[in-house]
Amino acid sequence: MLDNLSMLGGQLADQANLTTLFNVLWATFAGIVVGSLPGLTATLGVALMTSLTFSMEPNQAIQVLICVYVGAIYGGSRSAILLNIPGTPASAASTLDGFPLARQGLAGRAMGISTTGSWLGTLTGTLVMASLAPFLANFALSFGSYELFWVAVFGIVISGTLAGGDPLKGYMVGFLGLFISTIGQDSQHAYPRFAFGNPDLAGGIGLLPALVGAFGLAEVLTAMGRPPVHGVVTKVGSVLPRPADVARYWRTILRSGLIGTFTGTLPGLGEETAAFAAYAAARRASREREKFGQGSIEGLIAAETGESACVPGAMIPVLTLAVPGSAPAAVLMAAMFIHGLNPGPMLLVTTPEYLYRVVAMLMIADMAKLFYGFFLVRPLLLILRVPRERLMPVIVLLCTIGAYATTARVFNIWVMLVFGVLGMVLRRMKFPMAPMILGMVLGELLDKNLLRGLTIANGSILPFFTRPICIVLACLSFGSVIFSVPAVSIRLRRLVRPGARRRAASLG
Amino acid sequence: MTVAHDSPPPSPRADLFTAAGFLAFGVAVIVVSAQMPTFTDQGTPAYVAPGIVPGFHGTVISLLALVLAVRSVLRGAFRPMPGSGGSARRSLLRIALACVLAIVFSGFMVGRLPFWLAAAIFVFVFILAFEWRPGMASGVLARDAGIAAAIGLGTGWGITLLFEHVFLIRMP
Amino acid sequence: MRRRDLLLGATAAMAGSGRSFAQGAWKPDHPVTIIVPWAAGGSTDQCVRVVASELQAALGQSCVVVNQPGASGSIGTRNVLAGPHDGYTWASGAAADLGCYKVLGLLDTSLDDWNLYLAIANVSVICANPSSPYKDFAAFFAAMTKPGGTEVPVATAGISSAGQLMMEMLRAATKGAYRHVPYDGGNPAVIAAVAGETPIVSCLLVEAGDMIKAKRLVPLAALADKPVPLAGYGAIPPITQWVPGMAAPLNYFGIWLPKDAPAEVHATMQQAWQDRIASSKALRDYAERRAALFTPLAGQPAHDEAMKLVRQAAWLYYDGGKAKVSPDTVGISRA
Repeated sequence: MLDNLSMLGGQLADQANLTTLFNVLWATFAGIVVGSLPGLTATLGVALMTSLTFSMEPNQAIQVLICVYVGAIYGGSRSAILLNIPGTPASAASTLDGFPLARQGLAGRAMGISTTGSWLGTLTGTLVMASLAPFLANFALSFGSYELFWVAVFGIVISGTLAGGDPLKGYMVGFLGLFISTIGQDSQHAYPRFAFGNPDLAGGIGLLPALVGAFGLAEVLTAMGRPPVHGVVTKVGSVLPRPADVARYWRTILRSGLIGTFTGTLPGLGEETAAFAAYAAARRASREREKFGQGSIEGLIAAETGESACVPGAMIPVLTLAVPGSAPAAVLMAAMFIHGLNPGPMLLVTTPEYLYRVVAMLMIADMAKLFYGFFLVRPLLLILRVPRERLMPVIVLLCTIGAYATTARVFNIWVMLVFGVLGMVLRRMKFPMAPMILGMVLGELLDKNLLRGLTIANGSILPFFTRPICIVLACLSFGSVIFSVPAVSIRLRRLVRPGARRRAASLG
Repeated sequence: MTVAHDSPPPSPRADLFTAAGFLAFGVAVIVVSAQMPTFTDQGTPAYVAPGIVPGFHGTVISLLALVLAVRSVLRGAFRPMPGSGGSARRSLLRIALACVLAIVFSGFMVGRLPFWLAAAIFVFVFILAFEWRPGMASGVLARDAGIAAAIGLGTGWGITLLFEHVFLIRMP
Repeated sequence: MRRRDLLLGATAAMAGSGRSFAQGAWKPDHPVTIIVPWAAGGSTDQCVRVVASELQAALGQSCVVVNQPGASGSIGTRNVLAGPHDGYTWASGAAADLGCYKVLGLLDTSLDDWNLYLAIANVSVICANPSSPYKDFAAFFAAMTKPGGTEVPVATAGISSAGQLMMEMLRAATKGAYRHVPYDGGNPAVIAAVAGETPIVSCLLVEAGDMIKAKRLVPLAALADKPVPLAGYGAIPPITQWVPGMAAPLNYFGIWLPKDAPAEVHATMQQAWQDRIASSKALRDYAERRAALFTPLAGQPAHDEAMKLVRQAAWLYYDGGKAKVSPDTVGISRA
């Protein structure tokens, strides 16, 4: 342990110099800008910077990329809170409570909370990474096709109730999202499902243009439908992380941090799942559950901590197995290969100190994020002063270019438009959008892992129910289904009420 | 979800219509899934046929739509409803206008005109269309038009600059 | 010594064609886009990004890499075909995929529509989990060809990936059987075998190299006709040791441009390939680290080399009932 600490100290001292400071400052800022623009994701930011930092010294280049990654994940929540438009898919969960807070005039406070949560999230993840990386990576290996199938099922089971409101409608759009994810070539035969001869549809519907449409354009259209009275007085509030918030919600922060980190280590799950998972767990455990979706500080902090803790989490399998835990981490790993660093199972054998170098880089990036967290709140709040009629057309511009930018495909602009109009109609009918996004994320996981698992087991469904992690996840899923039926839930609560009250008393 | 703050909850009759839409969609998904090939002739087992998973999703969507339909009927979808007020109609008109503008811009102008020009025209028209009120003084209108043009050109130029030269993204 | 022969041949060919086009060099006046039809971070993406940075220096203009994944790489390639053929938009990937799109009915194009600029070549390997019963290729071979036995699950990077291609070649050559388990890319496939979800993985050596060195995978055989050296491990036995006469064409990766792009663009690229890429230390180092072969090839030699695998793959798909049209009809003869 002491060995590790001294190794970390050494790497931190090595990495912290003036060149680094300069690079960290611009790279984190660039990351926040990329993240807060709808459509420009952390993946795109890191990929762009990979080319731009090609000629840099490897340690500086990787530091820049980590800063962009950390900054973009954080930046996505700025637009989520201020405009109800998640800048990256990772921030979809932050709209649930962030925007209601902003509409109550608490945008400044909400951004302060999100900074606190995000900072502590990355810190938690980084500390876990420093102490448990090899162990966690090997544990992640035990999540194969069967286990990931159940992860997807569990996610779907909780998706309907995730956003509050009408669970029935939540499940309906959740399954709509699942269906959308099946459009395009299937994994076993490359048969173009639901393409009707259209080559673009054969490639599937991208999560990103769908998200930009369903949240971005739909929000513009909804906002234009509101009567032209507005002008929410916004208090800047406390932009600093308030120790009181941290003290009050330390359990939520710790739980979300650990959930986020672990979700990150699982290949195939990224920041968006981490944020939703942390949010759902916080909602379940909260004593103020009814506030969730109405502007709950606890909900926002959970989503922010979860998504930011996922970043170091996703780096763990990169460094120890050369398996990326998320899409931006995949690009970061490619950059490491290009720069001649060899992440993977040999890293801990040949250059174990490099793990601590990355830990140091993450810590530095996290501090830069905190720095901007203080200074960007006031300028960002100015956005709220722009009249809707003048702000919204600019957001349509950004949505259009954002849907197009990552892949340079005009098709994606049409996807954005369709999801925008569809999203607006569904929202008027009180269908929440978050379950649809979660459905699109989980749908692929569900489909591919189910078919793969069946193929490996030669058509037998037995392994889905006999492997230890599968049993746990299956029980959780079935338990959630049973609990979500109101009659059962009330009866069960009545049964355990004396016990529950005692437990609540001891916790409080 | 923030929709809670926006419009009033949909009437049971509106829910019935949405349920019908979802049901039709779900059934269509089932039909198309059932028509997909199974590839058993290529020696792959039937359980990995491409239609199974989407067919399942379509089935669940249809079932949930039926539940919503039944619920909306129980809540009085067939009872007579009060007509919608003028403010609701105005709100719908504004949304329709924004929709049309966005579709014309993103779907038809982008890619045919240079991006900065398309953006400038769109922003100018959008701002004017929503800031215009009947009986507006011509001086105020001219000032608004000036501001709209400035914002349009400024954002069109600024966004093109940022994306094309800083992010190195080719504009449509 | 085939690698050196290739290099020599390529350099000679490029020297010949390069000189005749020396004047009228192309100077791009805005950034060049290279479309990678696969997700960011994969082995194609990595290779193209290194090439892009070298080209950038040669052309004096930025080369921007854009990822357009989807439909087995055909979407990105389709967009390059549909765009203006002005030399500013490039496609990339594995040449074997490009050559097979038409046969598979994915995209109406063939190798002849493009000028290929190849950078590295990858070798396919079959690896086993160390605790699986397959300690060497003979054991796996016996399981594959045992009549009436259950098929062994084999992880690959997906439909029409190099790994599946190798298994199909093996199936055709041995009349054996296996159960194909496609994953989303080489990395997840390798991990599946490391975790023991499947006993066998068939993938590129690039993707499995580190796991082999860390002794978490046992390489059974490489798709080659002589032992393939892997730094830090030793030599991987060639598949011809067990299946004599099995052809083992290389899998080339690079970038390509429609043939009808302006002539001066092609001339400048030929020149750049000869001057910059062939002597690129960055690419050479990258290939060496990632257990790939550095094979700078352009013009006719590139086309001919790439065609070897295309021919084999196209006919395999056809014989396996997976092709939409006969390779004959699109100018790919059987031998």
